[in-house]
Amino acid sequence: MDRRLWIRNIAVALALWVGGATLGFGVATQVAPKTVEALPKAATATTANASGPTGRELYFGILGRNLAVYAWLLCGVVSLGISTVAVTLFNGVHLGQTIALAAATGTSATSVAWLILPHGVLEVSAFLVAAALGMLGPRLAHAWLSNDGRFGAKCLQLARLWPIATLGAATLVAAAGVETYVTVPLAGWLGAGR
Amino acid sequence: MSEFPFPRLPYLSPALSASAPWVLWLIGLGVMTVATTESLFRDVPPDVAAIGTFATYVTAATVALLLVGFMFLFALSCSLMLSWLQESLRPAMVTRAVSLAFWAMTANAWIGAVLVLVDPPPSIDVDVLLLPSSDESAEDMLGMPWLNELRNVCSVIFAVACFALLARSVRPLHALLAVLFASATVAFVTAAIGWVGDTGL
Repeated sequence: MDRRLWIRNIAVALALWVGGATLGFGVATQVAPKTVEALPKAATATTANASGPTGRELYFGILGRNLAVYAWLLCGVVSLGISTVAVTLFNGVHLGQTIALAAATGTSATSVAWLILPHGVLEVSAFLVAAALGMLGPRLAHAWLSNDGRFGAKCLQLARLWPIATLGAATLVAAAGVETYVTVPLAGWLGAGR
Repeated sequence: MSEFPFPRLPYLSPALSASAPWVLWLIGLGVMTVATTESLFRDVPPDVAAIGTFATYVTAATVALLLVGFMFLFALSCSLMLSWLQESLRPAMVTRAVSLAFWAMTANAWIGAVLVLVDPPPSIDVDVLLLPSSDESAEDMLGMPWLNELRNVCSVIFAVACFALLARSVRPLHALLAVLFASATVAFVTAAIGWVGDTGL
C-alpha cells in the first residue's frame, strides 16, 4: 500500500473516530449531569463494593476485548469496509460518552487524561492501523465485482501487509499490559476508580 | 440461460428488485428499534432514558452495519467457492442472489417490529441494566426471548433461499457447497471474534 493511501485511510479512520467521540460527548454532555443524579444509589454502591478481577484476569480480559475490536476492524477487508466504519464510529461514540460521564461525576480533565493516555496512545495507534487496512475493503470489493482478473493480484498485495497487522496486534498486547499494570493502579491512586 | 435468471419484482429493474429488500429491512429495523426503545425506557427517569435511548440507537446502527458487512462476506465466500468449483458465475450475479435472499432478513425485521408493537417488552430496571447477571442473556434481559429463535429461523430461510437462487445458475451441488462454505465462514468469523472478546482469550 503506498504512502498516500495509508495517509488517506488513517485520516478517514481518525475523522470517523473523532466524529463519533464528538457525537457521543455532545449527547452525553446534554444529559450526563442529570443522569448521574438519577442513577439508583444501590447500583453504584454495589459497583463500588464488588471485588475486582486479579491482575492476570484483568490483563487477558482487556487483551481479549481489544483483539476482538482489532479483528472487527480488520474484517473491513472482506466486508466492503463496513465493519471498519461501524466499529470505528461505535468506539468513538463510546469514548465520548465515557469522557462526558467522567466529567459529570466530577473527575478532572487531568485525571481523565492520565487514565486514558498511557495505554490509549498504543491502543488507538493499533486500531487506526487496523482501520486503515480494513478500509482497503472497498478496493478489494471493486476488483471482485468488476471481475477484471485483478482480484487475485489485489488479494496478494493485501496479504503482503501481514507484518503490519501483526505489529498492530503486538502493540495491543503491550497496551493491555500498560492498562492493567499502570492505568488501573493509577485510577485507584487518583481515586477515580470508584 | 437468460441474462437475468433470478426472480424480480414486477415493473422493477433487476437492480431495484435487488435493493428493495435492503430498504424495507432498514425501515423495519428502524421501526423495531424505536418501538423497543420507547417500551424499554418508558418507566425510567427521562434523563437516564435519553442516554439509554442514544446508546441503544448507536448499538442498533452498529449491529445493522455489521450485518450488511457480513452479507458482503457471505457473497464473497460463495463466489470464491464457486470459482474454486470452476463455475463461471459473475460476482454480480452472486451479489444479486444474496440480495434477493435478504428478503428473509427483511421478514425478520418486520416480524420483530410487529411482535414488539403487539406485545411491547416490559420497562427495563436500571439496576439490571447497570449490573447485568451473567446467567441472563441479553434477550431475556430485554424481555424478548423470541429474538434469537426468530433470527435463527430467518437465517436458515436466508441460506435456503440463497441456495435456491444460486441453483438456478449453477449446478445444485455446487450451489449447496457454496452456501455451506459461506455460512461456515460467517459463523466462524463471528464466533471466533465473539469468543476472543468474551473469554479474554
